[in-house]
Amino acid sequence: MIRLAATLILLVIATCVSARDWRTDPERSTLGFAGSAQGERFTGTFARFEPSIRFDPSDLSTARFDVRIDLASADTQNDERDQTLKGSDFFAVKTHPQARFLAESFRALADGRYAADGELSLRGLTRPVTLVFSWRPGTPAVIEGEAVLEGESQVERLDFELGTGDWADPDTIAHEVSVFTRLFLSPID
Amino acid sequence: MKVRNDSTGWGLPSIALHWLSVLLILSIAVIGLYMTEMPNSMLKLKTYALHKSLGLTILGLTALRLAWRLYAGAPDPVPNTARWQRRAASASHALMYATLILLPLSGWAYNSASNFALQWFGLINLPRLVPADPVLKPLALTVHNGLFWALMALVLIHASAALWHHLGRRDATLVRMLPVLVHDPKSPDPTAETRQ
Repeated sequence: MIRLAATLILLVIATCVSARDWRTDPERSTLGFAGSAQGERFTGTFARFEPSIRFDPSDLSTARFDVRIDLASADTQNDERDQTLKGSDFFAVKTHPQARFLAESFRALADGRYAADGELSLRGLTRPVTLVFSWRPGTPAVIEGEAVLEGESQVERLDFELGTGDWADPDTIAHEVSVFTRLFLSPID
Repeated sequence: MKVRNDSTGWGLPSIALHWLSVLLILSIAVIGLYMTEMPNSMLKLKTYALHKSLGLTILGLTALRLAWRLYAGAPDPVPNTARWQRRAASASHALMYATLILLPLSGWAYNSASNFALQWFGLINLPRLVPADPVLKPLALTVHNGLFWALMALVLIHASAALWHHLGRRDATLVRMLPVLVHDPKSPDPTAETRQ
């Protein structure tokens, strides 16, 4: 009975608080990318990234994602590929160690998901990128103060001058790259 | 020109497969030695891709050669070949076939352990032989390099023996592996005609 009451109180609090800020659990959260090279899909993950998430599904006008990504932490499980990826022809981590995704314009989609129309800055270039994501508060998630944000967006690598010149050949390295994320969040009060 | 091998000579398929293998092995060896020294670039990636495609081709071709040899047989050694020479020839041939199978497989294993895609001339993607494995990776490379130098040693022995048969013993061993017209099967020792 006490537990039920506590649950209800928490639910009420959770729905009343607007412009909620969230803390990301770095152990369980992932941010990665998937590309295709020599006819085969490969995925990579960033070991280090710092998301600053403000999101309330009932008030999208206050939502804001600001994610800083340490590009040198990219890992595609292939030493040679990672070296090339971090080198001057691609991420150029020496001159541009950090990428940043900043979104302040959010839309609710018909399928229940959301779209964050933001800008991705990478290699000194800033381009519009939309992150489509699902938001799963869930009853236990709210009690535990946890939410899951799962999203994906499509990026053209040449928009950011990732692998130009000879590297541009789309038959060897596809131009389309998808970025995916899964964040486990707890509220900051 | 005959198709099947008989006791005195090789048929056209065996001869063609032999010389095609020679051409491919020399090409892939030169590419393999050169590519590791290349600076990182798309050209390097494509050169490695070519090396892998040629290696897969050699693997398939060697399987085909072995199958054909089992079906079509092989000629006897030329008459008056000493027993130790027959044995040495059989052993080096067996070792070359084994190397031509294991060398591409070790390269494939190295490629898989490194977590690289494997394509045959950009047409077909092949699966991983082993999962990505940082421990197996240097081991597979060592085996690949070791087998390469072993093959080079065997090729040297093989070619030297063929030249010794041709120039020293002046028998038909080398000539009967040469393509069309050079070898007349009715003459068991074609070099005899040029001899005084």
